[in-house]
Amino acid sequence: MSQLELREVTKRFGEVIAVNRLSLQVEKGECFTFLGPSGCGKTTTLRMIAGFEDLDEGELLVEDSLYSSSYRKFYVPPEKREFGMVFQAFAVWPHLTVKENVAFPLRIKRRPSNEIENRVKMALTSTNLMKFKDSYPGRLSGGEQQRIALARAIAINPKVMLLDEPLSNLDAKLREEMRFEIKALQNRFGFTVIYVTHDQAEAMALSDRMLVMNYGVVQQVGKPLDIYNKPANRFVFSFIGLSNFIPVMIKEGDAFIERTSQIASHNAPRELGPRAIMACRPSDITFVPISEIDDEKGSLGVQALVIRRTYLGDIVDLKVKVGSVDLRIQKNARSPCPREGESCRIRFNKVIWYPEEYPKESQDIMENQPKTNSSAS
Amino acid sequence: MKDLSKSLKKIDVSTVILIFSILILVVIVAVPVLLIFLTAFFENGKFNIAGVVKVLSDPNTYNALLNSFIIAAGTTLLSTAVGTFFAWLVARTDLPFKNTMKALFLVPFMLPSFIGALAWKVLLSPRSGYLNKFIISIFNLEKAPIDIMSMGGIIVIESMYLLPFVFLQVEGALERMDPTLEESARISGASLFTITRKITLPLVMPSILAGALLVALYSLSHFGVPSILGTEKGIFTIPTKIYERIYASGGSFSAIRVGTILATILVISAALILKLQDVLLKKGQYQVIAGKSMRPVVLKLRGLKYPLLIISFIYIFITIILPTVTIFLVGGLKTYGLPFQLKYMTFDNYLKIFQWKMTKDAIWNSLYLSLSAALVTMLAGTMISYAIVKMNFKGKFILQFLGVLPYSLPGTVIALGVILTWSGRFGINLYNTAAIIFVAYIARYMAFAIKSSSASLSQVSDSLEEAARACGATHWQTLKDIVLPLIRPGMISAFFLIFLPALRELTTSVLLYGPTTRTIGVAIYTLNEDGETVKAAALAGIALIIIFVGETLIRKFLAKLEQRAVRVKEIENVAA
Amino acid sequence: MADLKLQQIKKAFGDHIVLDRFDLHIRSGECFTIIGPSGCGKTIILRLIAGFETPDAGEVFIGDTKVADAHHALAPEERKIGVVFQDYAVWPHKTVYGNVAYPLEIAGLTKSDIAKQVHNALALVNLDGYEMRFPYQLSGGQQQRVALARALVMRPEILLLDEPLTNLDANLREEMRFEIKEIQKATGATILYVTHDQEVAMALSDRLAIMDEAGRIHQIDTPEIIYTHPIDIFVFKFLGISNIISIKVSEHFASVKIKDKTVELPFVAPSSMEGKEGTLGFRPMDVQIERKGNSADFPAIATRVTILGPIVDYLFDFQGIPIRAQALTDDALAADLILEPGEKVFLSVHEPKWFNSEGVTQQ
Repeated sequence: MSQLELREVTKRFGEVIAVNRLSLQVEKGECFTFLGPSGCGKTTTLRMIAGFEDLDEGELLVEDSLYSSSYRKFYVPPEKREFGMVFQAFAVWPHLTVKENVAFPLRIKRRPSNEIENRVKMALTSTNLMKFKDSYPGRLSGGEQQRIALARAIAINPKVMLLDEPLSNLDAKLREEMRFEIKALQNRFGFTVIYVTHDQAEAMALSDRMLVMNYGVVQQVGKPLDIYNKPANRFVFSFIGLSNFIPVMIKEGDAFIERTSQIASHNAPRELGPRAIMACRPSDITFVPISEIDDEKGSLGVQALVIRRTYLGDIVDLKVKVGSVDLRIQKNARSPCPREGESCRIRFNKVIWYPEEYPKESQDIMENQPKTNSSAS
Repeated sequence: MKDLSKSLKKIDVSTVILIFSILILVVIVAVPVLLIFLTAFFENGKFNIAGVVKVLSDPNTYNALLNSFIIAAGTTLLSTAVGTFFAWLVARTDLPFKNTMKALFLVPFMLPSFIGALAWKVLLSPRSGYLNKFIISIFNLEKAPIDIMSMGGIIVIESMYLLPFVFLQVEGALERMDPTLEESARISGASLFTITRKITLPLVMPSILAGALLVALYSLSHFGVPSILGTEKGIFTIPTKIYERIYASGGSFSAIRVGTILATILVISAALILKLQDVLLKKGQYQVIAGKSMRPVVLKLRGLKYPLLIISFIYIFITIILPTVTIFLVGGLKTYGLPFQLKYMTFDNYLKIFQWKMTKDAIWNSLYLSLSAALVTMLAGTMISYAIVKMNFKGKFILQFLGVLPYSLPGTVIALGVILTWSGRFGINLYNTAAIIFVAYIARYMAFAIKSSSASLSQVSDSLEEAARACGATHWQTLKDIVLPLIRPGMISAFFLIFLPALRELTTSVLLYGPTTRTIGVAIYTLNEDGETVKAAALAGIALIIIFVGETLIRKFLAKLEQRAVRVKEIENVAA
Repeated sequence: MADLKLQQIKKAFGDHIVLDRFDLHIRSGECFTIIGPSGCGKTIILRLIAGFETPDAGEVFIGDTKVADAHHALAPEERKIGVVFQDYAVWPHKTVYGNVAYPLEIAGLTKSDIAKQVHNALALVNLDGYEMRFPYQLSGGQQQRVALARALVMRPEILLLDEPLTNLDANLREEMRFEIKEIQKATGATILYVTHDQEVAMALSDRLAIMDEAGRIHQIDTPEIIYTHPIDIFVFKFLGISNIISIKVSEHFASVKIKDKTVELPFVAPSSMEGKEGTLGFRPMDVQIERKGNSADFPAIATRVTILGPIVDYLFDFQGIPIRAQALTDDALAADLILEPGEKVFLSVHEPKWFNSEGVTQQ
């Protein structure tokens, strides 16, 4: 039995299909993330799970009980769903103390007072808020207010915890800290978590599994590392990290960088036709050390010109030009790399091939499974 | 010539602005207020508290005091309860025709309340009220069921016209509230009723209280309604008592002195109310985070929907339609008291309004007084707010205090202060001229102009001016090229928002008018006092038309300006 | 081209002394960044140079000209400096053309000259074609470029930038910092850039100054040298995530006191720290992870392994001390180092930094 299941869930706003036939199952204790740019439908999906929006089509089940069904015209209102929710703007009540905020859902459910006392204490201790229990939220910082919201959701031991971009309103350093804290809390209590964010680092840090979404359509579902290693299409590739997309012409397994005679790879897949896109990360391009360059063979590496070199501390960021294509390379600052204006040879260590046309959003992701090579030569 | 302009350029802009601001505020505001206190507490140059006590212990005066406070309390309670209810109805339920309702609940703002009082007197005065007569005939009663010329009547009518203050505050607060505050309560398991009780109401309480205090302030300062409905029956409030004393004695100094003593009480009460409002608002200043616009939690009224809609319509009918229709009908009567039948009606009175000298002059006086006062006040107010918002100097708080002071002064008090200042004491005698009303209007509306300009100015961030300086522009050039164009919409808006209230006001000009310097409000009032009810109604009708047309045109014009201003705000939001 | 000098500047606001006997020399044509936490006074320095604030004591020089001291100050409009503000300060009631042309209009140039120079400035920031737009029709990044063009159109010798990229989203910030660098190369202006974001500072600057909350400058040098040779622990901690361990040195080796035990670390301390207490610091990226250990390593247990896209973030436990490490994901995958919590590995650190008890770096 899955903890939460969505079956062909669809939501429309006027002409726009905000969520398009989304189906998925979330297991108990799993931390599941919806990742995508703003407007992709992830928040709408979360609100449907919470009950603030109703499904136009499809069904929602929790622990195999029906919570909402468009076919049977059945709908459980939010106050009866027993979920915990953390909002982007914290939604902490300013006229109640921290303790009263956390106790509120338990009081509404008329739990006995010693149970309320215990649960509140547990929630406040695990979020480090005991010392603020009698303070008002207005006196606390953004990060602390977000923890109040977390404590409030934890206190009821919810069936599912819903988090809607909870860290967006915090500054970068705090975001980093808080995402580890949320993960630690989830590990400790074993909640089923549904998390929504547009920040891929956050998604990757927190999730057991994630779902990448765009224009209301599921682009890919899987474990973070799998999605990182094998993005299903160009959108997912570019959304998950820094990317280089190189247009290539393929002839008998050799991929020529467009409008040059340079061969980027000898292992180009034949199924993609004469033209394709070769995608790779800035950290997957290496410089061929001078000792290895063999001019006669001419096949080790691609000639490039360094047009910009920027020192970023631990990492050096370079922009190189191959023909008319600009590529971004990132290297550990300690490894040697050429200077601005220098010519060099580069090699692609790991590439993913995509067809030239950008797949239409609603196409089945199965049609666009990528071909992966571990080395280009 | 070049040298002259160069040395003019060198004159510090800041100094000029500062000097003018101080001059204006001292002459227009500080001196009159000071004189009031001095006259109240000093007799023949000596501090005389005994005289004050004597005046206050006179049953006439302390009855007026008591009445003022009772009426204020009653009006506050009634308008707060009903206003909050309607605001909640519009903002938090699925009442149909919401937008229309919202606009209609605000219409009473447009109706001068003394005209409303006039209409209600016509309808419900104990002996000759048309509505009373109608009810008596239908139910075969002995005497009229409702006597509007009573304390209760004053409270109800005042509430009707002050209710929009509460409505506006509360409805705005409800709309601006972060919907996730209620959503998180919902997901915590709370029913909609519990949410309203435990979350919505406490969070909106500061606005409710702010609206309530505003109503209290206005009620204490108000002249028109208690005068029309109370004076005949001997019910006096502070403003009407002051008026009665001064006119009964033909403007004698002792009457003025009594006036200043009463005025002092009024000022102290007003100041306390404003201070209370300040404290309450600061305490309840909850961060309203403007998030993505999502619909707030809405209560489904189900069975109550149509009954409540009908109640709202009845309310609007009683507050707006009934009085307005009555005024127009009475204005069309050949003689007052005749029933409303076609043979007794005529358009003549309306046409004659523009022919009779008194009414013609009144309309003309009001128009040019309010236009000129609005212009001068707006310009002065802008300059003074620049000093307050953008400049740093010692003693800024004095300027701020003087700028806001008139806000708490009832019109009666300002009129008294102006009489004391400009009746020859310092060599200038403006009494009985239009100029004295002009000066009083400037004092009366200065605080408003300053508040409004300050709001526009604070939206022009300092960096916009500094960027101009970095581009080579002097302070003068920066003001001309950057600041002025950006606050112009705000200035125009302030102009109209002073012009319209000034056009129809009564409280201040009723103490300052002379034989040739009546305003529209004064004319309607004195016609009614003289028993010329039909003429009063006709003039009132014309006034309503002018006000309505004026408000609509100006609202459209301001809406267009608002569109442009919104774009300005968008940029600041992007940058912020 | 002009250099900038602040000499013995004192500036206070009420009781709060922001700058005291402050000196700074920025060389002509260089891109200089002052980086420090909010409230440290870096914006005040910029405003002193621009003329929006005047010093309580000390002198400000632009080139050879003294522009301000405690008694006289040249007005901002006379200083001929380009300024870009944090909120862009683009005038909403003027078009892009109107904004950029304004300084030229004030200077009294002819219409045709103005048109030419505005066109050049807009081309420099890649906004040609946008002349007739109003700011509300532009994105944040485009407004930022209008502000830049306006600051550059008079070809100032000095350009002051006050955290101009803070309000842009991450991608745009990245793009714009490269663009600013290119513009500086093209115009040769002296740039003073003020920020709290060390990523931007490192990418842009020829030289960098690190300032603390008290308004004191700790180090001025090139980004590379500051990063690899921080002068003290404040600079080290400010420039990035770091591991900090309190240690005591005896017989050349550092040891850490954990509860009641003393654990020796395989790090050789500089001789100047012999017998003394101090701090050890190193970056997460400097930690090398091996499955098999040797004498130079110390054993640790992985407590948290998070894949953050191109980087893997590790938290290790070494006898109670938490150690943060990072590696490029692809390197980690290649070396089979995507660990599970609880796995035991061996760590070594590449060139850790040593700080004495006052926090000064030791060699």
